Amino acid sequence: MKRLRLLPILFIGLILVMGAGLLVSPRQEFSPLEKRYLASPPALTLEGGQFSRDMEEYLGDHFPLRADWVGLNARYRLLTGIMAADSVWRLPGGALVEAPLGSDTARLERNLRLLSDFARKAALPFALVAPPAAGAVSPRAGYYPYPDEGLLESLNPAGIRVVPLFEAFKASDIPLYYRTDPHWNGQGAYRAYQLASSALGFEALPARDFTVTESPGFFGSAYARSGLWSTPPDILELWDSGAKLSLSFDGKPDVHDSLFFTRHLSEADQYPVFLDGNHGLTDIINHDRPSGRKLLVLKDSYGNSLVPLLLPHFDRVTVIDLRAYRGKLLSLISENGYDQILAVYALNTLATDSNFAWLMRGGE
Amino acid sequence: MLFSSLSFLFFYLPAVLAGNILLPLRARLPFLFAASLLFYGWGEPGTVILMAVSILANYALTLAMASCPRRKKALLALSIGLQLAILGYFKYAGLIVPGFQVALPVGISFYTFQAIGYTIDVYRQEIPADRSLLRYGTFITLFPQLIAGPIERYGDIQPQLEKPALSWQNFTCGTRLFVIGLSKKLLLANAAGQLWEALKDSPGRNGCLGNWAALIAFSFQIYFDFSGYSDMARGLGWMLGIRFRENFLYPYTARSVTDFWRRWHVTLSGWFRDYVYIPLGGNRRGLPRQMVNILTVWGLTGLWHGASWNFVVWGLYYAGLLILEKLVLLKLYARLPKAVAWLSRPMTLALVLVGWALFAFTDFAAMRAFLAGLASGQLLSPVAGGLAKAFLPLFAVCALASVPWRFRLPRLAEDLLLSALFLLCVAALVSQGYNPFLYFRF
Repeated sequence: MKRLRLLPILFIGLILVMGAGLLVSPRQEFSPLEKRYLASPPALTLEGGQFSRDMEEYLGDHFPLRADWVGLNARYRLLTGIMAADSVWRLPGGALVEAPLGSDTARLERNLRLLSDFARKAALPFALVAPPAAGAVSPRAGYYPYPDEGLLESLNPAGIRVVPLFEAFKASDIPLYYRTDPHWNGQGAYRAYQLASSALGFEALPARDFTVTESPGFFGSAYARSGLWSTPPDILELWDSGAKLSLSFDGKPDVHDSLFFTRHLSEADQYPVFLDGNHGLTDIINHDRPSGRKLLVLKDSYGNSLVPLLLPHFDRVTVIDLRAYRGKLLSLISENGYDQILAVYALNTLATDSNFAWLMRGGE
Repeated sequence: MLFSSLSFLFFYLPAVLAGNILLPLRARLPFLFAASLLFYGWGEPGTVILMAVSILANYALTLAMASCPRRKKALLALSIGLQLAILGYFKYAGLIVPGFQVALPVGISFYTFQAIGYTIDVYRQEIPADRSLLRYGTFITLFPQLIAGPIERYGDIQPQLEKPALSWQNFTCGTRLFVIGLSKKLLLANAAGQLWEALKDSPGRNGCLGNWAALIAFSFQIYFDFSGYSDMARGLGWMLGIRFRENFLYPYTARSVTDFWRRWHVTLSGWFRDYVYIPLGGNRRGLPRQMVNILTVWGLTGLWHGASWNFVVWGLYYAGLLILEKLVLLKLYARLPKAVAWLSRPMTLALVLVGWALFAFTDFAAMRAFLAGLASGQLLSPVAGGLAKAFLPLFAVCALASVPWRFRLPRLAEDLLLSALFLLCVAALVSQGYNPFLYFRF
């Protein structure tokens, strides 16, 4: 009998066991861990290798013990350092952050120009709150230098008042971002609210004026993409000013009386607890009528947790997400008579999003 | 189908191995042929028709050559002409007729070369024309080396198709090579490729060292991608009891460019030597003729790598270097004192690296920008520096894997290491999805 070796036995064993597992294991439609729908069985097509690509995706998504394999791969990439080329990686200390912007700023410049043009056409005071990437203000940014510091100021968009966040964020000794998600946390949104107050013409309320509800067990989108499953969860904070309000989406008749949609807290993706996620147009009436002023907010998802802080200072806050809104914005402004525009966009969104072109609809 | 895919590894491979072991000997050849066609046609069944036409035509023409010696030359020309016409239409028509585009059938450059080699061997009466369509077809379509080589010669493969050397020992050897190849592809080449992709389009902003780091990453990517494929092919061959030739002999340790080409894609250089260079007269007709021959062969070698002029430039760059070495450099290297003789290696490596810059960019403006970036005044941008620093451990492993080891690990340690690598490969496959090879373009 020839000497048996470990490798071929393990090789064949693993192939057979996993192959059989692929055949018999029950299909899962949604992965709560990765927060996404898994691939459905590939359709048979004859064109250009599409079938084999779809098949790979399908087999990978339904592979036995998928989460463990993905976790193993993530650990390996973390330990060897090559995670630095991924879109999410882990800072020393355990925070999962998004990769820095590339060195190409063409899109950023174009988007700022679009915002400038829009501010001029709208002829209203226009403030921009652009949170830097979590990694940029972390003292443990690791390998990467983030370009965020002073980037907006250096581009100096005309007609826009850029609210300076970077220094204050960097100096903060409490964490302003989630560990498992790229968004700012409750404290981060509150800090931005304070810093933006003078640009928006109100005096910021002290933190104690808000009722803060904590919701533990929040695993964010960075966690879902990282594969580093042992990262502990965050706590979501809901900051409520207690304003009486009515809220409606996209002009639909359903009216809600809260900014927080707590049913999402039991779902895989909890972030939509703020404003029910991203709707094209969210219209909020503050029945307390504190100031007689109306605010128009253009935002990405960072804005969702900032709006609840802003509401006590305005009679009406209309929130626009250009990724979904297809109405005529300039007409909306002239119809409703806003006093102030605020744009809330992560630098990352400003540098990559292609939806700013929708700003000018109905303007001429 | 790709070796580095879940469908291959967990369904196709166990089925083929089981069939190959369980079926009686006479059923193995048809089984292997059918399995190879399935491998090739997986997802793109249309390409099988083209391959069938190529196989049938060549089979008939070579048989005619054997039965009709007087027309041998004409039949040879017809056969080669046909193969080149197929290759030309699918691969090069777009180069000559602007705007013309057909999808390139995968592996066509490899299997047409193998078919041409076969025809010429029959013409030279080094082998008899095969009367078995099944055996000839299996030789052309044999799935381990069908898509990216090694480019085999019929005389080496035919007896092994008849009598494959199936044994547990060969199987063990095969899994070892296969896992090494898979690891090269998934753990080294793909990772190095990420650094290259992150930096290659911004040579003006990376700084000079950043661009060199990117180029080194590309050199590792292409080497481990391609040699990984060859290792997997050879490993699969062993598992099936068929021995394929080695295609890579630690090319980055070459002492000269001449030496590099004895080590890089050996079966392709061998093909060009046997079927182009030597028939043209090789080095037997005086120096000027030899220079012309070198230029011809290397122009063609470049063109073989892709239907784009940068590949021709790349080939001619090597022709120039080889001629320069022949006339001057090799003599110079030989005269170097022993203490500094090693200098020829980094020199060669630098020349090869610059060669990869010519190879990597089909767009000449991008190529010029990158070459200029290699001599940029800025030393290293923070972004490129951060990335490159993060990749240093990978570079170290790549460097270690590019040189022959003077010692062999104890058996158990080696098995444990390779088993761990295999688990990491599966993890990478499950996580990464689709994994095409660089050399599939050719």
